[in-house]
Amino acid sequence: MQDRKSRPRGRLLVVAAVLSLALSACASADSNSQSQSSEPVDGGVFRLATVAEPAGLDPALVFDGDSYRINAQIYETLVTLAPGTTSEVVPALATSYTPNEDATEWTFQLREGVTFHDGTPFDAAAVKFNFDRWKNFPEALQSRAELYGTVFGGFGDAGILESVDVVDERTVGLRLSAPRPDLPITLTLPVFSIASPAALQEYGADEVDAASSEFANEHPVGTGPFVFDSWTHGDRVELVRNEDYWDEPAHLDRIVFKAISDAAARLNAVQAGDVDGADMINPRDVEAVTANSSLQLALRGSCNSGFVAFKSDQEPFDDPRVRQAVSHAINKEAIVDRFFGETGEPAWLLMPESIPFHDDSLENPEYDPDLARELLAEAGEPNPVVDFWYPTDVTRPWLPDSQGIFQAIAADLEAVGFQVTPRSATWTAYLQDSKTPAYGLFLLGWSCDYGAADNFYGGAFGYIDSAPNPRYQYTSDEFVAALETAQVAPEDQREAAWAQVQRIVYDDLPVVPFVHGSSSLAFSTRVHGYEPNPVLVEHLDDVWLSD
Amino acid sequence: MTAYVARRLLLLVPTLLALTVLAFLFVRALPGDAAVAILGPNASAESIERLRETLGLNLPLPQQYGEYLAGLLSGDLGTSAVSQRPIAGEIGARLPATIELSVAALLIGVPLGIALGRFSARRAGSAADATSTVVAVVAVSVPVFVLGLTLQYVFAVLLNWFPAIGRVTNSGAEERITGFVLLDAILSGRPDLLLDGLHHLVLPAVTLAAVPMAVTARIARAAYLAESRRPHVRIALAKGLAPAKVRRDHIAHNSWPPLVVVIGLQLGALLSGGIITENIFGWGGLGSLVVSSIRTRDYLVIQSGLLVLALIYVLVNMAVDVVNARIDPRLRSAR
Repeated sequence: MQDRKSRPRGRLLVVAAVLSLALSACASADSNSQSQSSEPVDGGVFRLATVAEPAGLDPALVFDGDSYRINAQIYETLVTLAPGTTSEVVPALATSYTPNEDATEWTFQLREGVTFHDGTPFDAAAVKFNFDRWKNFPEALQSRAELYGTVFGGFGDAGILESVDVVDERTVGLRLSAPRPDLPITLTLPVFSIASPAALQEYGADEVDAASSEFANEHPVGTGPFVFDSWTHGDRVELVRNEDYWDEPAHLDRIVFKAISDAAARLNAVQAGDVDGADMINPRDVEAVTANSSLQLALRGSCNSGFVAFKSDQEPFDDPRVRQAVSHAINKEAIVDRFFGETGEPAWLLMPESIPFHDDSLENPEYDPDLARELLAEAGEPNPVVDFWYPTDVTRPWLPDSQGIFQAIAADLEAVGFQVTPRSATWTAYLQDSKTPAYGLFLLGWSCDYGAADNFYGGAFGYIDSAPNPRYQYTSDEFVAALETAQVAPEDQREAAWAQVQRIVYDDLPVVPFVHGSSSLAFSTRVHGYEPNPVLVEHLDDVWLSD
Repeated sequence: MTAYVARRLLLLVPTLLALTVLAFLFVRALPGDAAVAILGPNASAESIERLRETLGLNLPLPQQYGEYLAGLLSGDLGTSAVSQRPIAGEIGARLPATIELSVAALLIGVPLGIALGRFSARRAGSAADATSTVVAVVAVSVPVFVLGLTLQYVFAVLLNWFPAIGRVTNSGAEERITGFVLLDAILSGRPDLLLDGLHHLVLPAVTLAAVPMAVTARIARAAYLAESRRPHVRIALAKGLAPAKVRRDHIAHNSWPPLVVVIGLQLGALLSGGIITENIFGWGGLGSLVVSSIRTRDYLVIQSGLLVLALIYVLVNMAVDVVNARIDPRLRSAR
């Protein structure tokens, strides 16, 4: 494990490389490389236009991207992700960790000399307090702490977190009732941020009767490089530099997160110079950004896939040849070119290449309409009549233009013989109804919570109470056995075990992935050192502004 | 007069009650609910069900309505499902922004509309009249978001005359006293902040003023023309009264009542146009709250937000009627 403190400050070079790649076609590449060589400058106010206000600043209870990013400045986790990666775990509040042989006991060494923003010390007792708090959330809060349940398999004694032990002031032990070899990466999730126990108690973080906690609105207290300053509801959240940060203090004096829900307005705001950066640039505006010499584009990279999904227990999709036909019918390259441009890559596995244990030996099934027609004929279904669903009123990195992408795929399917009836629903209804049999064929995607194979394959297709996920009805004992083996495989067997899982799903085709999509940000050329991250763990202490 | 106002106030009760029912049913007719919206696509059916129970979404509709109404009667607007904050506070924090923007739009739109309307009425049939008609028709038919984004692009991005978003520059120097940026600047004796606030107000207010301006202009023109053709005007002119005096006392004055009614009704356009304008200009008002709550199916926030907007609308229109009754004695005696 690489120590975060000793990490070279050359992070900037990484992002600059990404940026100049993105800018290679335009004249500003020169000015950009100019700024690479200059030294970071301290000071300044960084204003970022976000999509929405955070849902809340109690990190344990929120998991929307806009809350994530703000909380990632105020709080820290025991371990975190190396800048720009989805799976490289590096130290944060813990300097090191050691698992026992079967990954059921984990010992964390904690960093010294860290204090919370309220002046109380960070120590083993504080870590235990936070873990105990999550584990024993009252029911009303459990329903909002979804990810704790996902990682530890449930709350209280129903989950696998048996106990959290204070070994000494700087050492904490986590004891699990079942192996969890990928515990470190799950602990990079911002929901496992360590908050000040004093503040949690004083400001009633767990009082569910008090309609909202003062902690989550007015007094979020962590150990991070920025300290909460104010939240003007309906408008903006402001943070200021933590002068007493245990690592080098941040460059910026202040960060303002300003919510602008309209994508065009966000872009106008950064072009007009009212903000220094804008999140979630519409893919069709990406070209305008790269063509503008006063702006730079930053791509997040992907931790997701968009796919065409089936109910594998339903006619005609219960016949694997029909699913294969769909896989060969879709012209993924054309769809990516047309709707994603730089912001997408054609996909054939559920997880992108950057995720550990991605099986590079599996290849993209060829786009071959003739083969698709043959497969349908073999299946005795040359012209299957299907309802094909897509969601309206939603954009996702894997679905920037829902209707357009739907139409392109539907046209591909019709070209090989399918008779498609378009069906649509609004996003929230869609999420709900896609679990019902009415949705035999539909567009959906999987965005990772954290960058691990288990989060993709276990999350999407793992059984729930010994039954397949109702959304896909993908029933395969072979898959389940392989998944369970991979989840607890010892280190030297993990690669082979996950390859097996990927192979089974690749062959069975419960879904046909077509894209790994990326979101992007636009910055003024004054901004340096912003490391975008597909799982939105974005630490802004290295961001600085030139004049 | 007092009895008139009292009766109008009493009528508010059934109006608002009907509104609560409508708003309640409207939000529940939206597909999907807050539990799904909060937990997102990766959530299991079980955790969605659990959150639904926590939020009380599993209760029968009449019971949910009953609890909502009981809360309202005791002055409690409820709690947001998403942020878990009390809704009264959420609305209170945003109301000044919405009022400030609406008032600014009215102050721009109405006088401009009246001036434009009377100007074309006096030149009815001329090229100037035709031009102003075209302007009004365009202003009323261009969708607010097109106008807003265009103004933003031209005047903020290309020309850099005005800021593209926000109510203030976020210098950190602002003091929140009333929540009204302009008022706060005056109260804290900061002319620089007042200018900054006005500077930010221009584009959104002009965007929002377009429709009221156009409608007011059309009505002002029609009312002015109608009055100017009445017999007493002709007689006044025939008697040798100065045309300017005739215009002021006999035409303009009498064309007020229909105008006042229309101005009151414009508030509806302001509130709905305000929702879009607020979203474009990052204006943290009630409109953007309602929109984001519709996206997350935050039922109680939508219900209460709509209720407050409707209450403003109803109260303003009531005020308009009262004002009209003062202007036009015939309305009073007709009661």
